[in-house]
Amino acid sequence: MAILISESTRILVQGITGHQGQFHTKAMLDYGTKIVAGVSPGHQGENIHGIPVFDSIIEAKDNFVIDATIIFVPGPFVKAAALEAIEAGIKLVVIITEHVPIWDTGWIIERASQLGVTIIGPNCPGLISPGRAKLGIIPGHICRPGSVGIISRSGTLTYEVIQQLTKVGIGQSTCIGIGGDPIHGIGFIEALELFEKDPNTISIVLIGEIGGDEEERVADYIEQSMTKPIIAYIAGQSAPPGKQMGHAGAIIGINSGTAKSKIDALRAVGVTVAEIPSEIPQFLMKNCNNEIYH
Amino acid sequence: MVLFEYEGKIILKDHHLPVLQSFVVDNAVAARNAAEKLNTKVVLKAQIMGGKRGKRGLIKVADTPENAELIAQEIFNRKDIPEAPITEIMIEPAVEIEKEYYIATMVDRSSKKILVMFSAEGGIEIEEVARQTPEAIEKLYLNFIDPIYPFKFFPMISQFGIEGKPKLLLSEIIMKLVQCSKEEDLILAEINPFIFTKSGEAWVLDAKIQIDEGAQYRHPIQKSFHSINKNLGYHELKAKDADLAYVQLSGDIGMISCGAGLSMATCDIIEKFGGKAANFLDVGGGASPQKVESALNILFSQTHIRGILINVFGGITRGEEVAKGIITALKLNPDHVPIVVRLIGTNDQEGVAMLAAAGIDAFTEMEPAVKRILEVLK
Repeated sequence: MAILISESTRILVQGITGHQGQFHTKAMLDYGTKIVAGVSPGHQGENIHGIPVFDSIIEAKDNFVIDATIIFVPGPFVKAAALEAIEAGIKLVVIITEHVPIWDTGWIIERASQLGVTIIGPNCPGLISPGRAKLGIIPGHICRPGSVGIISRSGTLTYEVIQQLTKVGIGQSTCIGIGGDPIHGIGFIEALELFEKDPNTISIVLIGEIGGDEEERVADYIEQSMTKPIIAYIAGQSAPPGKQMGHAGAIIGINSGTAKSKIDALRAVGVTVAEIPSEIPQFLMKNCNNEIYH
Repeated sequence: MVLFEYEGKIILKDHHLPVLQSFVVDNAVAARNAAEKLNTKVVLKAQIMGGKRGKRGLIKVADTPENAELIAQEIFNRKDIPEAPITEIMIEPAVEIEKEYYIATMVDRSSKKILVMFSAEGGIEIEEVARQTPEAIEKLYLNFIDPIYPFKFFPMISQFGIEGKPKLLLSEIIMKLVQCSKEEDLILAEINPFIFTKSGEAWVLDAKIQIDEGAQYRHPIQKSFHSINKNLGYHELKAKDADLAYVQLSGDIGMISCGAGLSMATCDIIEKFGGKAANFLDVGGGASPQKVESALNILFSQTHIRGILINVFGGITRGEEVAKGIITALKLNPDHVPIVVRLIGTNDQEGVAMLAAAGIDAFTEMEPAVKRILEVLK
């Protein structure tokens, strides 16, 4: 098992006719993901890599059952696309797009919460359940099915960590990128909760970075509610205060958000924190038995 | 992106918050003229990003136009502050403060809500207050979707014993600030202080506004603000023009990577292994050869950089595109400093082969690549 998606999840691609939409639709299809339809206003009747395109979600739903959607549209159009998905009753919405205005993100997440919809992102690489399906842009060939769950605020740093695990035979159950924005849908706590319940996940890797207090808050949650071993890595130890380091959410504020604060909070509740990424597989091998090898 | 005070006040005035008449000048004679026009005692305020202007002599009162000119010149001449040189001074009429309040609204990442803060102890060190007497600041969380009305703010104002007309006025001000934030996509809007004068007028005396760069496309006026680029150093500006995420750091090892987290991690690992990154540079996903070339050129132009590490893990970024950019940049800069490349991911074999043909042995793993650049620079 894995969390959130499987080989039978029926997926819609919003913005399918754009450059990113087309490229990643192919990559997802090649990985075995069950993409059933695409939406791109004005492109009804077209066909992208064999997937039928519709003008709107309502029209797509008239023809297909849709469990989840992935949004590749540019920032200015994300709010409309996300609200369309939420109000059409799609229960999982992954927003890949970066530079979504924060007031738009706030509105999307609030509306999703009102209607029981799970949002992942924005500004994230999505998720992948290796060997089963991917709903995002994480390269499939670096992953390996297994039992380590990965939750990350990052994109390519996540790939780095996945690659290091795969290289030594440690596979992954599901990898989720929660995104680099200050406000995002699913967070560390929600993902940990899912991994704790997932019988296929034996241990978890948590990749954080400077900015905000989510790692500190998740430390409290871990202390109260988690039993599975967690290894963490926090990026930005060398970052200067007050400067945005790429991600909109990666900025050290006046009294908060330093890598040290996060590392201290996690260590205080028994999380092993790696100083460099290559320590992650080493710690996993130490903390877990051979079950993590696949 | 934090705006200068006068830019923030332009936005607030647009949304009907009471802002004093003012002039923004870039020379001392204009300061005198402004004081003459205002025909009253004036306050000169250096327009800088940093705080504690009062304590640092960057907010001063002038009771005559001649004094205004002298004080302005003194401020423009200041060399002893990190923000030097000061290029703009805002001039407002001096007002007699009777009461001061702190009013702020921000998009709060922990609660995923709009946070409104109010205190009857405005004008002072609000961070001190937040730390030592947090109960002196009232907080209210609002939803993004719900409409906003002044009555929502009555309880937080009443907490300070404020009733009647002042409460109504303050609640209107808070509502206008929230409304302004919503319409202008502000991440933070802080009025410290909002004041009542002895003669019963109400004014925004200082404003700190943070805009959302991701929303600038729908706020053309924000693009014209000077503060947007004033914050940035020379190379940071060049990088911005080339659409690169770039932060100047203090070391001598240039760094190029793709993805913010990986870029930060690369800088961290350089430091862990005993070196120091000269910069953070994220070329972003799907970088073209031109972008990679621009990134290298920006680093080559900095003579204190003794070597460069390029760490690419390609998802949508393609190995052969990265290799092309590197090779072109190296050809154009034949006397370049040592370069170490790590390339893995999409089309990495192709990229590695191209680099090998150009005499560069690319690494597959990140940490050995970092060790190598440090070895080379010993």
